[in-house]
Amino acid sequence: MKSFGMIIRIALAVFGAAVPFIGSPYLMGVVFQVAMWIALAQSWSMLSATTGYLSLGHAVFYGVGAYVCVLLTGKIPFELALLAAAGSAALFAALVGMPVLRVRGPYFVILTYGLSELVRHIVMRIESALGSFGRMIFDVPATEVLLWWMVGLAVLATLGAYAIRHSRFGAGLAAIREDEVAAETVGVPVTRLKLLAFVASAAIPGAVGALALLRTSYFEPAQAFDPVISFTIVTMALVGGTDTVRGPILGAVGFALLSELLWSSLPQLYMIVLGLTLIVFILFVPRGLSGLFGRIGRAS
Amino acid sequence: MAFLDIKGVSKRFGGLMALNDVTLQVEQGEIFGLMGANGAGKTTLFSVIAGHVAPTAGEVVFDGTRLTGLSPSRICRLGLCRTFQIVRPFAGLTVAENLRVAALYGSARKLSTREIAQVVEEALEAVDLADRGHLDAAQLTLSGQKRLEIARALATGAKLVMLDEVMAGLNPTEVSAMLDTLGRLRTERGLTFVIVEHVIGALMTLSDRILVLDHGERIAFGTPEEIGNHERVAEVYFG
Repeated sequence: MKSFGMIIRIALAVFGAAVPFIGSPYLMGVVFQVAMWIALAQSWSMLSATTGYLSLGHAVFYGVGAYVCVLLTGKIPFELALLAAAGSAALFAALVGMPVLRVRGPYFVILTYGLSELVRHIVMRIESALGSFGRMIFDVPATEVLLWWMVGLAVLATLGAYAIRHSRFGAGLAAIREDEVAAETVGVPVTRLKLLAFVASAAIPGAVGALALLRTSYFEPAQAFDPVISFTIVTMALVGGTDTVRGPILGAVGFALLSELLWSSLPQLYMIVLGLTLIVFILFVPRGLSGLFGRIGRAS
Repeated sequence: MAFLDIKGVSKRFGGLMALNDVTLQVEQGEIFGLMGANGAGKTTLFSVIAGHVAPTAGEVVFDGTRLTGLSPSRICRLGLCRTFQIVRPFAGLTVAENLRVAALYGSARKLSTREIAQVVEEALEAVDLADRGHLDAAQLTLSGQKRLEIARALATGAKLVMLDEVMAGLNPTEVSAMLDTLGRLRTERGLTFVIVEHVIGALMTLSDRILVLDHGERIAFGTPEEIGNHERVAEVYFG
C-alpha cells in the first residue's frame, strides 16, 4: 500500500516533468498550478499539520519570495534568484518566528494573518513611494524551465514533509501538538523545534512565489501577498487531510482541477465553492479526502 | 553533597508567599515525601525544581549542576523529570509513542533505534502497561494515565523522578498496586523519588524521610514515625 502510493507520486512527478514535451500551453498551465499548490500545501503542513499551529499567513512567504525575486531578476542568474527567494522567506520566518510562536490556538491563526497583511501593506507603501504601481519583468526563463522547477519544488516539499513526519524531529513536533508543557517536561526543546518547523515551512513557499512571479512576469504587491493564497493553502490542506503526506496532494489536485473547471464556466462561484467545501469537510470529513479514501479502502 | 540540594528557595506570586526560604536535601536512592495541606506550596516547589517556574530567591542544585535558570527540557536531559498531578498525556498518540518521544528527547545522549525500543518496552513493563502500548493514550483509565505519566518519566532515563499525587483518584487496590510498582522501581533501578501525596497512608509507607510544608514554610522534617508523632503536623492536619 505504501509502495503503491509512492509509485503514484513518482508517476505524477514524471508526468509533470514530461508535460512540456507534449507542448500544450494550457496543459502546462494546469500542471504548473497543481504543482504550485502541492508545494505550498505540503510546506504549510510541515508546520501546521505537525504542530497544530495553523498558519493563516503563508502568503507572506510567497510574497517575500516574489518581491526578492523581482528585485534581483536580471542582476543575478535565475537559479540564484530562486535560492535567494527561498532563503529570504526562511530568514524572515526565523526573525518573526520567536514572537509569533509564543501564542497558540486562534491567537496564532489571527497573528499570522495579521502579519501577512502588515507586510503586504508595507510593501505596497514602499512601491507606491518609489512611484511604481507594479513592475514588468523582461527576460524570464522559458515556460518549460519554470514548470520543471515548480514540479521539482512540489516533489521536494512532499519528500520534506514525509521525512519530517518520520523523523525524531517529527516525533517532537507531534508531542508539541498534543501537549506543549508535557513535551518540554520530557526533554523536547519546544521553542527551538517550533522555530525550525516554521523556518522549514517558509523556505519553499518563497521559491514558489518567485516562480509564480516569473510565470506572470508582472509584480504587483497586492497580488503577490494576496491573502486568498493563504486561505487556499489552508483549505486545500484541510480538505485533503492533514494526517498523512498524501492529504495535501489530494487537496491541491482536487482544488486546482476544480478551479480550472469553475474559472472557465462560473468564475464568480470559485470562492463560494472554496468556502462551502471547507465548511462541509470540517463538519463531516474532519480527516479529509485522505481519511475518506483510507476508510473506503479499508471497508472494501 | 546531596543528590538534590534545594537552598533557601522562595517564590512570591504577587502578595502571596508560595514558598518561603525552603531548604532540603534529597539523597540518592531515597524516597523523599512532601506533605502539606492544599496551598502549602508542594506543587510550586516541584515547578521550581523542574524549571517551569523561576524562584524569587534561592537555588536548586542537582547532581552537582545548578538547575536554576535552565529550561525544563534541559533539566530533564540532566536526569530529573516530573509528573503532573492533572495528567498530561499526549492524548492523540499511542501509549508506546508517548514513551518513544520521552526516550528520543529525554536522555542525555542519543540512543539507537534498538535502544529506544528497549527503553519503551522496559518502561511499559515497569508500570504494568505492557499490553496497552498500542492504545491511544486517551483510551486509558485514569489509573492507566497516571501510570503512563510515571512510565514517560522513566523513559527519559531520569535518575530522579518527582511524582505529583500519582495516587489521587485511585481506588485502594490501585493504590496498593502503585505502591508495589514504586517500591520495585527503587530497588531494581536505584531511582530516587520525591513524592507529593495526599494519601497519607501511602506516603508514610513509602517514604524514608518526610518534609511537611505549611503556607510555604517547612514546619516538620523527619522519618515517618517522627512525623506521625509531631505536634504541629497534627495541628495543621487535624486542627
